[in-house]
Amino acid sequence: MLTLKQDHSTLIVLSVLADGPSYGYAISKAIAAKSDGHFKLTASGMYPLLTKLEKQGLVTTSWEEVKAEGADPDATGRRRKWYTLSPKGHKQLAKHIEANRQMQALLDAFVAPAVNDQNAHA
Amino acid sequence: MKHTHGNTPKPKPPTSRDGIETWLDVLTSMLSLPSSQRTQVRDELEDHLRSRVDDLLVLGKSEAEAIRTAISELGETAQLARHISSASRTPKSFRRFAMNATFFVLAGSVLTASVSMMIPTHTNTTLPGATEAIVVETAEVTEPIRHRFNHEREPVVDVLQSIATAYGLSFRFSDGVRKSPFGKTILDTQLNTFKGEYTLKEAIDAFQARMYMTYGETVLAMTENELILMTLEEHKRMQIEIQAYQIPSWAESDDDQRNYGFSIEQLISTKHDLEYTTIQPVNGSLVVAAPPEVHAEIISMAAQLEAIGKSMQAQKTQQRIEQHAQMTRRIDRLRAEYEAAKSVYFAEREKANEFSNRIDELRSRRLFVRSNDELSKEQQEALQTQINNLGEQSKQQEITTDEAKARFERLQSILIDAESELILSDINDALPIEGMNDSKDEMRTVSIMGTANMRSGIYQLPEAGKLTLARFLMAADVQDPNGKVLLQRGGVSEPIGTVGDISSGTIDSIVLLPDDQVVITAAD
Repeated sequence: MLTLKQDHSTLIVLSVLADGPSYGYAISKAIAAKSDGHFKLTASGMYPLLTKLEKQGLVTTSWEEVKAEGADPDATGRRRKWYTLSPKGHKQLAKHIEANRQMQALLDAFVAPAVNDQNAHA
Repeated sequence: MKHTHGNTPKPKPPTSRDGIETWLDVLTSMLSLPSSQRTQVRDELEDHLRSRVDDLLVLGKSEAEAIRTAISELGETAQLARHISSASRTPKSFRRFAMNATFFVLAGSVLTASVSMMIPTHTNTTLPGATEAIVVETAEVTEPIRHRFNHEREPVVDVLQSIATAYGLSFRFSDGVRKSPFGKTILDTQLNTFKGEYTLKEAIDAFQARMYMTYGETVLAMTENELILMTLEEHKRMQIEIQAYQIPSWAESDDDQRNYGFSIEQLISTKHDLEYTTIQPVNGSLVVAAPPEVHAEIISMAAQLEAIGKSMQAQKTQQRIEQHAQMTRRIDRLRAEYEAAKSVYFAEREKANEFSNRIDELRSRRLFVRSNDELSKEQQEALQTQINNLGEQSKQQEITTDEAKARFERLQSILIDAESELILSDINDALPIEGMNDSKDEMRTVSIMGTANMRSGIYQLPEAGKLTLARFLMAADVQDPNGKVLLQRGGVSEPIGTVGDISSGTIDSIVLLPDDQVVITAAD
C-alpha cells in the first residue's frame, strides 16, 4: 500500500475546498469519488490536517445547525463544521499546484526516455 | 453563512442514545484538550458519523450495522484521539500536554492510565468502491522539547518551580499536601543535586527518583497548565471521569436497569476498590463517575456482554429455524391427511349421489307406470319395495358421507390454522435476523397479487430482520413454480424470474422494501 506524504494530502484537501465550502464527511467522500476510490484520507489523517489548515489561516470555519428530516422544528439539531478556503489558502494551493507541476515535469524528464527505451525493446 | 452547494442528503433524526453517543463519550474522554475544544471535536465527529450512517442506511444496511461500520471506518479510537489532540493544541500547550495526562506517583505505586486499552480496536474498512486504497496519514508530531537543569542543594520547592517554568507551567502544592503532616517537611527539604537534560516527562521521572522512598502518598501530577504536588486521595479524585454508558435494550423496566447497574458494580468491586466510584442508572444510561481503570473495565465488560447477546441471538435464530422446519413438517403431514380425507369424502358423496339418482329414476318410472296403468299391482309393489330399500341404503350412505365431510372439514381448518401460524411467524419473525431495525414509525407493507392459487393481499414487513422475495412467495403460498414474478418498485416494473427459480435459490433472492408490489402471472 502506498503512503502519501502529508504534503499531498494538504494539496488534495485544499483542491477539494477550491470547489466550494465543505465539511469533514463531504470532503472525505469527495476525495474518494474524485480518485475513484484510490485515495482515502482516514479520519485520523483528515481532521488533524483540517485543524492545522485552520490554524495556518488557509481555511476559515463556521458552524451550521443541521436538522434531521421530520425532526421537531423546535428541537436542536446536530452541529456541522464548514471549511472555506481563505484567500491565503487559494494562494497556497496555487503554490502547491505549481510545485507539483514542476516536480512532475522533472520526473517526466527522467521517466520519458526510460519508457521510450522500453518501447524500443518491445 | 449559507451553504447551498452540493447535494447532501437530509439527515435522519437520531434515535435517543445509541452506539455513536457511547463511542463519542469514550473518544471525548481520551482527548487531552480544554472542554470547549472537546465539544467542537465531538460535534464534528458526530456529524461525520451520522452522515455516514445515513449513507449506509440508503445502501440497505440495518441501523445497528451502519453505526458499527461508520465507527470502525474512523479507525482506532485512541490513535484518532491522539492525533486530534496533538493537532488542536498550540505549540506551547502541546508541551504541557506532552505526557498525555499521565500522572506520576512519588514514593508509591506508579499509576498510569493507559487509554489505548479502553476500547476494542477496529480494523479499517475501505469505502465502498475503493480498490487499492492509498492511505493518507499525517506525520507524527515533533519530539517534545528538552531543557537543561543544574540545581545543587536547593529547596525542593525551587526545583519543582524551575521544572514547571521551563515547560511553561506553574507549580503549586495542593491544599491536601499543605495541610498534611509531611507538607511542612517537604517545604524544608533540600535536594542535593538535580542535574541533566530532560523532557518534561523525564524531568518528573528524575525528580521522582530523587524523592523516592522519602514521602509516601504523594503524587506529582500535571494538569493543563500546572504541575501540582498532591496527596494520593486528591489525585484519585482528580482522575475521576463521569461517563454515560448505554444500558442494553433488554433491561427495560426501572428495576431491570437498577439491577443491571447493581450487577456491574458488584462485578467490578471484585477487582477494583470502588471508593471513588459511583454507578447510577439514569433513563436508559448508566452514569458512572470513576477513575479511568474502572471505565476501562466497564467498557471491556460491555464488549463481552455484547458478544454474549450476539451468541444468544444466534441461538434464537437456530431455534427459529428448527421451529420453522417443525412447523413445515407438520403442515406437510396435515396436508397429506387432508388430501386423503378429501378423496374419501368425494368418493362417499359420489356414492350418495348415485343412490339418490337411482331412487329418482325408480320414482319417475313408478309415476310413469301408474299413469299408463300398464303394470300389475305386484309389479308396482315390488317397485315400491325397491325404492324403500334404496332409501334405507341412501340414508346410511348419507351418514357415512356426513362423517367423511366432517373429517375433511376439520382437517381443512387445522391445516389453515397451521399454515396461517407459519405465515404469521414468517412475517413477524423473518429469517435470517440481521440486526434490529428500530426506525419504524409507520406501517411498512408489501403486497402480492396474481393467479388464483395463492394468498393475494397486503403483508406487513417484519419489524426485525429482512423479508426476502423467496420467503414472501412461500408465505403467500404461491403454488405454481412456472409462475412469472414481477417486482414493482418505485413505479418501475422488473421481471425477476419464475417462482421455482426464486424459491430454490437459483436466482439470488431480493430483499423487499416498503411499498414493493409483487405480481405473479401464469406461465405462457
